[in-house]
Amino acid sequence: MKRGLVVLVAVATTGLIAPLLSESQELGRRLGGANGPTAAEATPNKPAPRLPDGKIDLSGVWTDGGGQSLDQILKPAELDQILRPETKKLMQSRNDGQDPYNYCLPGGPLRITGGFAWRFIQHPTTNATHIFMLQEGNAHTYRQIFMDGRKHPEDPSPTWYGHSIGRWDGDTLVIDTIGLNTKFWLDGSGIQHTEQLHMVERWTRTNYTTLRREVTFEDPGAFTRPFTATYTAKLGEPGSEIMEYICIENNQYGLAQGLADPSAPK
Amino acid sequence: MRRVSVVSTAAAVMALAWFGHLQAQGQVGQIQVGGSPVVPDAEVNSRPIPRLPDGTIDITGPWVGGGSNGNIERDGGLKPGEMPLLPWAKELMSKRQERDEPYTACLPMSVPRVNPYPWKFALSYTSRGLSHIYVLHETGDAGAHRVVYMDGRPHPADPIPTWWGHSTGKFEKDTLVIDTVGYNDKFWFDSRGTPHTEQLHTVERWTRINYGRITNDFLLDDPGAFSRPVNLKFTGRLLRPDLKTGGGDLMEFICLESNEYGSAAGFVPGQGTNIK
Repeated sequence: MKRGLVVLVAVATTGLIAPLLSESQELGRRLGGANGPTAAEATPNKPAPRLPDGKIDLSGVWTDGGGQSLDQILKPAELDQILRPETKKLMQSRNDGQDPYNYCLPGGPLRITGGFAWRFIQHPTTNATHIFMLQEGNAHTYRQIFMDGRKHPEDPSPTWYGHSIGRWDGDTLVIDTIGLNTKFWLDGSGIQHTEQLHMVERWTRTNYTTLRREVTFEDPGAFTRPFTATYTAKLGEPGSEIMEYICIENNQYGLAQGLADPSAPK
Repeated sequence: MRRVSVVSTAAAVMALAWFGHLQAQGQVGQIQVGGSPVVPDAEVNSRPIPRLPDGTIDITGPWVGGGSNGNIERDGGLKPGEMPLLPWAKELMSKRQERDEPYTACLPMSVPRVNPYPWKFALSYTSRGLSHIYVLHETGDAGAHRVVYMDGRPHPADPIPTWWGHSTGKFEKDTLVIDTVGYNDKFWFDSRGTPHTEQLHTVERWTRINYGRITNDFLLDDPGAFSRPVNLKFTGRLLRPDLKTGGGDLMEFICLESNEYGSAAGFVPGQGTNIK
């Protein structure tokens, strides 16, 4: 393979430049699609590292772990039974062009892991009071998880990423989220949640290169019952970094075509 | 769930900053906005400077200010006209209008710009120690974060120009020193439009001088737009940890949503950033 600077063009935007490719790297090994980092060498027996305080070290550049649509994770019959009729009807009527994600609006807490590199930040080193999730793509923004034992507010003002509180259950990070607004699609297929959505995530670094994420969704406004979907994130090779990505700069898909803000009331 | 009208910390701080700005121009007298969200001057020494469990000085914040906003010259402690801009840069600046600033279209504000919203340093610890420091802004950075590499790596020989550049950092005793190259030329240093080029090299020295304040001794070195390097000084103020709204934490702010100033007004991102 030639050495050279390769410019990878994302579906929605330009602006992401790939690092120099060496002979040993192939596009097929990239995680999360064409825009992701190269996978770390699989080491199933190497355990997850720990911080000085004994907590699992979640650091590293990860990809996937929540970007897939629910219809790719759950069996069709199961999903069909879970979706309320109006939820299913709305989902079926939607197309990509209506997805706020493609207009650089936030994808919400589930999709923060989709398609591009992302990271956990544990701050500070001992008994971290905050864990942040940073994403490379989409809104290139952060999700804030409070680890200091606080409770959810009684009546949170709905936001794109909601109010998240976290705690350790042994070696599993449990994140509980409420207070989500309805301006984003829960997943890429167009499943629409309501403000009643309550998400509980259980993150376990099963080995050095793998993060398992079990997400329980509860939303009586959109679903007939609570259900759980399990996703897997994979580690990027050492030296991977989250690169700069400014979605609204040169967004050919959305603003440059004069498309209106899809979150505006109709 | 009923929608609650939130008077954000950000709005209060912005109101303060705006009224302060007007006051400076002699247009408005004292405005009572119900108390400041930052630790007041009288309380900056009310507690000792905190340290993290490993002894590192705690520079987390959140902080308000610590950089340029409306006028980098004034904000940085210089006299009017003291910034040694080259003639072409002065001319470009005179043609720029505040409404064309990329920041108002939700593009990154970069360095050393800090709008009057809170921001914090997030130190990313791993099993191998401190690897990165991220600067998280409530807003003003197109959504998210600036990254400072703390693992001793050098700058790349020929960095691809980006909005935030390539930053490497180290602690010199209790001062965080951040060295940055690889900036693009698309952001403005302030809303007046002070320009720069891709030759920009900055060095920031962040020192938490007491519980309530952090100073940023800032070296601006850009031979493409300035006739000599410039030393500026900014001071950031700690957000009060007892605030009812936001609780002393960063709040969510999605610039692109209902951006009345920018896209809703027909602003096309990319206009006004062309340095030529």
